[in-house]
Amino acid sequence: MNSKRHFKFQISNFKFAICHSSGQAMVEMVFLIPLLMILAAGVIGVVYTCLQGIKVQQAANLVARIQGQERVAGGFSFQTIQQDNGVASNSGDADPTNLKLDSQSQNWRTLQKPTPPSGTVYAKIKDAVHNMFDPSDAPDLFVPEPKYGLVGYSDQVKVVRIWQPPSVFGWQLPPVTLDATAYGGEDSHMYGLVRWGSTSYNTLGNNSQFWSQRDGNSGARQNLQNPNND
Amino acid sequence: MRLLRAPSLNRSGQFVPMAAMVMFTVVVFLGAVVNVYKVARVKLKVQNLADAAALNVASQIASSINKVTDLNEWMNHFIEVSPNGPSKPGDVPDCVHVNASLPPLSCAENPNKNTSLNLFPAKGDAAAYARLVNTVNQSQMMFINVYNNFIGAGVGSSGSAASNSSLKSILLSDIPELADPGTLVTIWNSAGADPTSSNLPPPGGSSLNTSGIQPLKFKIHDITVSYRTTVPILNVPGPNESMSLGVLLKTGNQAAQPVGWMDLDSSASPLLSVTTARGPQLRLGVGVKVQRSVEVIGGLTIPVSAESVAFVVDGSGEMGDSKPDPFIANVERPVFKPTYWVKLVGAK
Repeated sequence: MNSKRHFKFQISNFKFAICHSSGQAMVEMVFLIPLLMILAAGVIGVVYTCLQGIKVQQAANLVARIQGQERVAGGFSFQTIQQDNGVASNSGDADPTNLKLDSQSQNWRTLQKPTPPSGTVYAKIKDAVHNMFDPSDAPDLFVPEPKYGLVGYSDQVKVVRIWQPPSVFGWQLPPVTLDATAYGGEDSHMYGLVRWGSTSYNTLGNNSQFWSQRDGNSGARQNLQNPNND
Repeated sequence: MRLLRAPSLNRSGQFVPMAAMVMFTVVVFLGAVVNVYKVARVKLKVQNLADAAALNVASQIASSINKVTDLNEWMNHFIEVSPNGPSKPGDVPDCVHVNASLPPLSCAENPNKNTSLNLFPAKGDAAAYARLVNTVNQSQMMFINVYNNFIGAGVGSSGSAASNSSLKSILLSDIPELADPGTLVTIWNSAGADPTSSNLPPPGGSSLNTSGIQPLKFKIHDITVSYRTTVPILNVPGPNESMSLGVLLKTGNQAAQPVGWMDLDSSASPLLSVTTARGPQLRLGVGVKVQRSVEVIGGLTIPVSAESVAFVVDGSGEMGDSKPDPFIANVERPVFKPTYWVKLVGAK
């Protein structure tokens, strides 16, 4: 038996095993390979959803800290405080959590509102969330306006990500809603009381008094003395 | 030939068991992924809850110090003292143009009868001033008692779970997820109350333990003032005298109580050892531990916990700190600035 014959034998033997053993394996493969592919797609989908779910919670934790550190609690008037916080016009994203999502119309995207003026706390929060995700995810990210703590010490922030899975063999899977809530401490830099300061403010509309978070001229944060380097 | 053929023939129908093994492996992998996801998400959640609760309670501590400091500062603004207007918190008032009978608190101290510093026109004026300051001190003490009772650590509290209801209700209203079933929260503000045990949360229940909160202690700096005297009968100026405000108010044989500005008694207040940029330091602060159990696929329950410490930043406010008087050379005055703020250990 030379090598050529041996090879030929193997090929024929292989054909026999696949095609002539009652045709069983071929039939199995015809059914199981698509099943395995669907399973693989499902695995990828679940893993991706889990990763996105963790990312959403991470984003919520991050913006909770930003809200806790940056939220302005003092100013010339309630209106200026709201402006600094970026929530003066009540234009925050709506919460899509309770919305009945429609894959065809992608109706959740209408709930998103434009980012508020840059430099405001709410704008920083939205930017921080968007920076954590792929730019293509932006239309499906929602950051409703933070809810202030009832007593004022801890604000509540929520991040929602809606993921539309791709259709499989023309079958459209329903959108997945991932949401996370986190809490931030109150603006710890704003304990100064206004009683002894002048309430006048400059042409920029900023108050430069000690109890104001930003310097009226430079716009930089003030009153953040940490003389002992704590 | 038989040796070669036999295994080939046995391959028929092998795809099903192979596929079954693959599917089983995939399902196990999926279960592991979901379990890791559940644990990781809960870990992130409890860490946020611990951070938020620590900042919340530490902010209340800082806020209480600010309240006391603000009342000190309030005594710098009895009257319009200067052509420049009232001083700002943290600044030394213009003590040159003061009403000698009613000076800003920062200007009142004069233990050496220095004629370039404030001299009350008479002992009666100094005593009246002492009564005024004492009234403010009493309101400060009332506030501190209310605050300490509020956090369940005051004289009027028993240290039981019920006495902490105010602190609990605030925490739970601000951070409602602390009351989620299976969540155990432990809060402390002194090194001795740091829980070392890591008990699992009671199944299906929740607990918020604030019994590790100790009261804040404040002390009053008794101000020594000087006043002019008049020689009886002759009705001519006599030698200036000095006396503390507490002694001025003393009646009978009772011990003199200090009267003046109030400061945190660091030696008696609860302190935590926290790591700052300068290394380990003792600071007013709060530690919070949040524990939660996660039920994972496979019937297991995995405990997840997170700890966080927030502290009052040293020097972020001023409570009787000495500053040079810009109007009188070589004199230092106490200043007050109610701006204490807090940060998490490890946060920048």
